[in-house]
Amino acid sequence: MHIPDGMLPAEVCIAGYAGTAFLTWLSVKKARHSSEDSARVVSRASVMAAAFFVASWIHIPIPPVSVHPILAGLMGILLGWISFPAILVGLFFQAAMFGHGGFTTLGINALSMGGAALLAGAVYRLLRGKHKENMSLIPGFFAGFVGVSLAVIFTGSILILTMPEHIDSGIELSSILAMAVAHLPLALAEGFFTALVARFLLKVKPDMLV
Amino acid sequence: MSLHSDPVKGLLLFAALLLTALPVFAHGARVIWEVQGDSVHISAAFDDGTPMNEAQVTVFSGAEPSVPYTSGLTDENGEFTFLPDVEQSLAWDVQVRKAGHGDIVHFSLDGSTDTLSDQGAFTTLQIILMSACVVWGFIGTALFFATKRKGQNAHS
Repeated sequence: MHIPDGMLPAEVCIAGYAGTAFLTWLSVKKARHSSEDSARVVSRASVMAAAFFVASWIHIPIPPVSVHPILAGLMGILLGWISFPAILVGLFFQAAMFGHGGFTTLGINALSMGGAALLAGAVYRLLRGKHKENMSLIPGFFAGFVGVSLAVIFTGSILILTMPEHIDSGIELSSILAMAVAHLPLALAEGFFTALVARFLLKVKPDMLV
Repeated sequence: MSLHSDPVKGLLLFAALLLTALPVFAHGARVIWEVQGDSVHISAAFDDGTPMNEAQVTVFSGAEPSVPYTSGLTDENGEFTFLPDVEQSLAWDVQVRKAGHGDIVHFSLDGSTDTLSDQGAFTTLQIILMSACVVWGFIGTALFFATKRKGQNAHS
């Protein structure tokens, strides 16, 4: 899910950074205008960034590839707008410490995963409605499912649209499709996990959810 | 005292849970090259050790960096061998790619560098220590703000 250095043209990387800069600015602006205490927002974002950082180490073999949890849906429902900068920080450390992803592609990776988290949070709010008493598992499930699915769709689309001429596009396309299909079980698993977490938090601490 | 009423205790527990996941590794890619006689041997694997089989390999010479010198697929062990034309160039770039994952290695055959790439992989202990530092950085930030909030609540 993390596109490494050297896989994308320079103009795409620059556009990725521009988009990420805009969404980071917008996210911080929205978070500052919310009524929630900023210390509380930062502490929750730090913990979730750590969870995001660790999640990418857990590889789950689904032949012919292996996948890792993305947690975009969970980040989206717990952090709302601030999930984008939290994912950006997590991606930076993953690239710096392990070369997981790249620095030139940091913007694009942030748009894929952070954008998916923002949309997953929006899906959750939409399905749950205005009443936090709604204990249905469905909004949380769809948030987790959509988080993984959108991240895969964004990343796959970028890879397909920027495929270089010197490689065999048929082979690369089939590899990308295999990667996308392998993420379907993960999307379902993250959907169930996010639904259970959302339901638990609704019972014990509903103000932690967006 | 429950975890709900004490965020510091909850964060410490969360940190402990995260740190227990440290021995599990990600799947970035690692490409290693080695000169074997007249040819160059490429070995590509994900960093959990799984070979990158059927990955696309494209070789570029320093003389024509935008035109592929040769290309092909890795075998089931993630390996690929090519014969460089040293009269054309001594500098070479090799890209290994599979579903957008992979790496590019740059090397020179002029004798200024080793004939075997610096494998550069961290040891398990190094990875655990580095990861622990990063996770603790995040958790420490959270603890700092959680404690600050607690102090503000106590004063008010």
